[in-house]
Amino acid sequence: MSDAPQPAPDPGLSEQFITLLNGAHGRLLGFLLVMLGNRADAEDVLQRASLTLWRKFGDFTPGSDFFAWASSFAFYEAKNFQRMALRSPLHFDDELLQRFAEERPADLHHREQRLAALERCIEEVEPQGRDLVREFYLKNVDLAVLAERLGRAPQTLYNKLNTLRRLLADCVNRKTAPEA
Amino acid sequence: MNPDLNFDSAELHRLFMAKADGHITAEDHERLSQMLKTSAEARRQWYAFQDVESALFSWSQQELQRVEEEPALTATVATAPTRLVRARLTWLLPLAALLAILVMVVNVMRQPAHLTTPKVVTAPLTDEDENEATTTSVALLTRGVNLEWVDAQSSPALNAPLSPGWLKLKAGIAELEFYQGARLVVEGPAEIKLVSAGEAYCVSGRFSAHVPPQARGFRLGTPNGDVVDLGTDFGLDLNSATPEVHVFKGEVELHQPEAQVRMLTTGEAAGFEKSTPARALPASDEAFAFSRDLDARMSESQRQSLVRWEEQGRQWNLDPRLKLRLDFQDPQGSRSLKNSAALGQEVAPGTIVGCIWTQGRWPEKKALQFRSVSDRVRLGLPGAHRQITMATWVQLHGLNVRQSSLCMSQGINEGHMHWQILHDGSLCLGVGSGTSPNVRSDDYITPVIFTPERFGQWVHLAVVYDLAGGEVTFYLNGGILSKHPVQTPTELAPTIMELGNWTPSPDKRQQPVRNFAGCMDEFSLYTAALRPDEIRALAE
Repeated sequence: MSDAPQPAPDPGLSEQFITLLNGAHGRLLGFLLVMLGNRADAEDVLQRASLTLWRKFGDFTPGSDFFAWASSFAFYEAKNFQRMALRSPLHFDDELLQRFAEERPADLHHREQRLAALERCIEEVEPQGRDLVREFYLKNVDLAVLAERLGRAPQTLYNKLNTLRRLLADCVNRKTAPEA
Repeated sequence: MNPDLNFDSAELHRLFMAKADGHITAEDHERLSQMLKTSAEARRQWYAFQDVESALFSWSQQELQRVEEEPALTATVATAPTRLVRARLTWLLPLAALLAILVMVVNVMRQPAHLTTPKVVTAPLTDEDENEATTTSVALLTRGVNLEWVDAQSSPALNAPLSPGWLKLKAGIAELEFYQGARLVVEGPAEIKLVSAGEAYCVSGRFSAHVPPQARGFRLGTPNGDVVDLGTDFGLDLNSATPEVHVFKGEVELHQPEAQVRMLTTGEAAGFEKSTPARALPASDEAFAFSRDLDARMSESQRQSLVRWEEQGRQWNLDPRLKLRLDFQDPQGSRSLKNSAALGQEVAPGTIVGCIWTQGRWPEKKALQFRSVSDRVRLGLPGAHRQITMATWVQLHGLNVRQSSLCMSQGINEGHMHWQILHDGSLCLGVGSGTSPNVRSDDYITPVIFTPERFGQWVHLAVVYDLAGGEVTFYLNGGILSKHPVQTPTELAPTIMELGNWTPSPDKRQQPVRNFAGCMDEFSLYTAALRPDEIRALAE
């Protein structure tokens, strides 16, 4: 019922936090993606960082740049994650991460443009190719399984997928190039 | 020549994809790192590549939604709406999991404002944080009044995360918070199966649901059909002779087999029987009053728990085997803890160093919160003992250091005992054995119990060291956690002990950090081995 008691002592604070985190979610993920390289790890780290952010939310100055504040914690969390992630010993070293942390926030201003450009670029791909892309990104599909289902060799399928990814990246680059 | 064009862009892209897909070789990874280090253009392309990957992911989600909205391609009509909602909300899932953690943290913080600041764990950021982000749980049991479960053995604790599966409530009122944000108050008798963070299936019970905007699409399945909430508040009564759905605010959809989907809006209600189509009724919240007075009943039940605990405490204090009992009910602002054990004259009150007073298991129950590296309670226990039982109620806020002390003797000497939580979340009792300077620690270590999901919950821990029985036994919430044969028979002589911290040796300058991050609201020490049923009674 609407007059049922609220669970939080200060719903306003958590609501404010969620709103800010929500608003910065895409950019924070984009920030972490370039460091970690893949979505699963980036989401994992963002979740850990979110916990820290909530704990530290009392230190955040309302009205200041939430992304700037949050990304420093996310950066620390990413470094920490890599130190502990034994499952993938291959990761970028701290020097490179530092470079990303310096450059990427400014680069993220292009993010929206790139997302919009992709919407247009993908329209140019033939339906079969789009199906392949969709299957791959949605389910983290094991290409071997997908290949079997489609009666194709996994390598062929992967090559095809990667050709598409390459074409799409080029198309996005063209559409977002400064002179375009 | 532009050094930025010193590489083949197709090759760079191949490396990007291998990195993103997780099958890059060590050699390729090294090349990729070098290219990214030396070329600003390579980095720019890497950033763009990742944005395109994100865009492809979002596009794929939208596509799935579009495809599923085409009726011909929809596999089963019944499951489609939920799947659509999931597709839309996938990016919210980390947030949903976060919400669950928030609820836990918020519960930890539900303390008088003047006693605490909103920082729960103050361990320095440079500590490694082992918080594993994975969880199979979909909801939390946030509140409960007079709960009686059908299977008392597996009854969930308050603030316990719940995994998909059946909850069978004999009586009482339970409040569940689903990770996608829906709040469901259930009045027993009720049988409910948690399906996902946004879906449950119920066979019996009265339910009052509050569904905030981010949880739109919350689905409550029943044998007679499904209720899908499109936002805000509804009640579902499966315990009356004629099941009914009442909408107090917002809209719900009724999905019944072989019937058209029906929409109910604010002020509307409908009968919800198996074979007959839904009957129209005026909405009435009479049957759902239980959810409104949950607050009042909750505080009444907490007050009763406190009274019961105080009564039991008076009995426990008289136990001749009890040498130390700290009930933490000392006057506001006390800097020492009274020993309530009737026969514990030789044990001095505990001295509080640092720490802050806060709320314990119930609103009127006090507790000490340990936060900084210096926080501790110092105690002394004279003599050597062949048997010792320690029991405590604690609420752990995090595991940010290698070892967190529950109760540890100062230094390491023969007979010293070190009861602690290890970094991985297991419990350890270390016993100093051998003679100086060759003292070593015999360590008894339990399986891992403190996963992040237990952070913020009150848990009862006990350990029994029994030379007569040749055994060390650990208990969690009154049940046996693990048993270990005694390694080197050594009488325990704890001498100076600390709760929540450890001083290796008083004259050393560099002290390793062993501070406990959390709250404690009761601590007992017996110079005897308590039986399992006695430990269970302490934990009730």
